Amino acid sequence: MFRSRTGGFTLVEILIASALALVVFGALLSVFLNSRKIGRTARESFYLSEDMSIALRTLTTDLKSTSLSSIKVESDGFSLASPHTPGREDGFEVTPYGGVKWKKWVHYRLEPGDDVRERLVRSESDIGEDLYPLAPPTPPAASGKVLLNNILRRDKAVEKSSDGRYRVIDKAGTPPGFTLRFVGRDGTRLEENPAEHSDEDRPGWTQNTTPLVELCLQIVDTPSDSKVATLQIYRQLTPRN
Amino acid sequence: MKKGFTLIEVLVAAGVLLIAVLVLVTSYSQSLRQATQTRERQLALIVADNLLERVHAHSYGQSKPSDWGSEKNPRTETFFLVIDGRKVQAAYQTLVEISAEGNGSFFGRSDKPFDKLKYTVLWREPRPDGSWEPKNLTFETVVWRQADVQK
Repeated sequence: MFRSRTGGFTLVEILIASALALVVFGALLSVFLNSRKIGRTARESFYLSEDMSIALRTLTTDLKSTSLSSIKVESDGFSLASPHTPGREDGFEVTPYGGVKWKKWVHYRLEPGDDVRERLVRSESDIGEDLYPLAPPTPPAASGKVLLNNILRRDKAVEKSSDGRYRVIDKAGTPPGFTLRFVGRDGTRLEENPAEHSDEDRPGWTQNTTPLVELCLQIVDTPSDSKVATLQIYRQLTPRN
Repeated sequence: MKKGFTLIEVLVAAGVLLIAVLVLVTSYSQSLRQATQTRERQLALIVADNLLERVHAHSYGQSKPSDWGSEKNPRTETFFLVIDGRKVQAAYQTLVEISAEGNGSFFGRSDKPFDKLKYTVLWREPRPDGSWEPKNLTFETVVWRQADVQK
């Protein structure tokens, strides 16, 4: 027993309704897909700059309060003398001779992470009673605090590939994403600490040196191969003591 | 008339839903723009800090280094930034000048014991319509000749 009109839809109504549904769900789908992409992009921007600024805060404090001559650059990082009490960031103490009293060594070292990244570890060690900190000890192994875990590894670079997207590639000879250089008066970057030489062994050396150091930091994030995110910055600092 | 929606009701409901979706879309793109803005401003602050450190390293009374940037020829600092596999513009123009209240002694143009410097950082931020909005960060500091004696 079929009855013709019991409140079903006509063909026209169904057509209109499904067309509408298509438009609405299409819009919803594009919002969803877009939001995922936007969310990832925003998150990457945020992480990149936020990671960086947290690590920079510590690096800045250490480099500003050290003396240029105490900075020792090694192949995997650098060490410097600090006037702050170990484990704290307090004020300076002055020796009877008018200089700053050095209270600890601070070591920044790169440790292996995964195949693209290295970890930046900061550790501290004893400095003794010397007036002028000369040779930093070997940084204590397996201790310290990880400041950044996404430093671009040495011999890796982020470069444009044939499809126009940037990817992490192998490039022998590329320095790691964490280096400290000394800025020359003519704008060049020196590998050696200006305090390690004088006009006597290098004529004209002090003419071209400044107290300015430059930190180069490159962090990298690889959610997938073609969606790599990286940020490289230069931070210039003047040791104050 | 049996229970159910009329065509008009369905149309109205779909319209309301569409508006809601559109609002969502705009709020997403807005949040993306704001994240970009935050990142660009954080980088601008690093650039500004670098200027201050360069001034700190400068010996009072020495001539102005050629790479410090001037009104006519600003220095450009570019950071390498890739997001989502694509390179993103992150360039900042900087200049350090003697402020209008200064006297030029910091760069050796007078014997005064103090001077006033003006720092400028210029960059661009994207507008919703895809065009660029120029932004700038300007500040001034006083520098003293005495501070240099300690070096």
